[in-house]
Amino acid sequence: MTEPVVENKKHRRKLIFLLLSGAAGIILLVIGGYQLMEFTDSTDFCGRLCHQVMYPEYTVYQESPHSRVNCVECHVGYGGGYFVRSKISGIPQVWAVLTNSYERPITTPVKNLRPARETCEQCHRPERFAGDLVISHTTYAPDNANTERVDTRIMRVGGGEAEAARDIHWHIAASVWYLPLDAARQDIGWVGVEDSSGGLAEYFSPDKSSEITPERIEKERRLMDCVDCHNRATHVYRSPEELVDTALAQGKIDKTLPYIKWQGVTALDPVNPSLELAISKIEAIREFYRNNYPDVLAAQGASIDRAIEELKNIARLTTFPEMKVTWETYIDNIGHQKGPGCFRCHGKLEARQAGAEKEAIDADCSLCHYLALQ
Amino acid sequence: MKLFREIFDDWLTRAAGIVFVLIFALVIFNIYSDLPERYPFFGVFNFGMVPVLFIVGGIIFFLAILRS
Repeated sequence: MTEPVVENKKHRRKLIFLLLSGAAGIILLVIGGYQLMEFTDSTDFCGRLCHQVMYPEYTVYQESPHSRVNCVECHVGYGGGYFVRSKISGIPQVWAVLTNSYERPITTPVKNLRPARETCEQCHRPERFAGDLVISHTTYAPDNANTERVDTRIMRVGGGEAEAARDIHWHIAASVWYLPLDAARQDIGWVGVEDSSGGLAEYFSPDKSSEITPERIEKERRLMDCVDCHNRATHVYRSPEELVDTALAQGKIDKTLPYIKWQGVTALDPVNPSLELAISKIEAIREFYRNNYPDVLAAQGASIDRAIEELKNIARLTTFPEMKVTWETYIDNIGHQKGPGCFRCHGKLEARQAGAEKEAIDADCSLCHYLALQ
Repeated sequence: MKLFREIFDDWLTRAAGIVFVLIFALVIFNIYSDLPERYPFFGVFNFGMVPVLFIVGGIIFFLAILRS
């Protein structure tokens, strides 16, 4: 009789242990699962795990105005639905990395990026923007004196609530629809502006009218948002010339060094086939001063060393041969200096009204900016 | 000690105990260490091991329940 009782007691103890450890295991799984989720949402995970693929994006992100914003805050956003979707869409990306079959460079725009109204506008509020913005742009000539030139423009940033919105940020306050005809969204075939009564003012690309059908508009049209202009707000690939100008303006490179702008830009543009080669070209700048300006080298040797260090940093921001990325790879839609930008629609698309004279969307410079002296 | 010897007298319960201790150690390690963040590959392994161990533990748990 005693043996079955002892056995039962033993089994009961085992069962209690298993149940307690099972319950504690569930609690630990919840904690561990949360840690895993947090880790996969971290910038280190996105930027450093797929080191070669993400290296250019991660490098320029760290220098961007959004470097304190985690990747997932724009690429995933808030809420469970987008979280699950992002994890699922990440599976083919992991496969592409493991099989070395990813695109070089990565193509843009990101197709499944969440609308900017749900990401950018969590921090920025276009309806609170108002007035103009003074932009001063300092550049240096590639001459002996690195001659400085300051170009100051006043940008009509504008903004405001839907009905009162004006200037550039009117595009966000109003409901502006557009139909891109290419994957890069550079060729716009149609624009429709909704008014408060539900009417639609339509503008068409005159040379693409055969490609634009009401069905296609209905199916493929997109509501304009922040990233249609600010498409490189974070992964900003600036040219060596721009970066050298900025470093000179910030005093990181001594502008009293003769020909330093020319030397710096020549070392990095055109792009070098490797970072090592770019750095060795930059090191050779010391030789340039030794051979041509020995007195400058003697008097300003420390400035030359600082300039060389800063130029090496610029080389790291502009040399990405593994991913075939340069400052010309991705078109920046802001303005119109690096791509068609505003002129994808302005000056190109025309109103189509029966019997009326065709009128293009205004492309007057003063719509967006004017010179400070005016 | 006798109690422990009694509970862990078969390999299934012993395995369940080891899995539980491993999950616990991993979770505590991940809370206090910054190594997984500094070395993302190590992080993937470390954070990913928790659900894997839980599944292994779950299988052992059911086998142990069925046997006892």
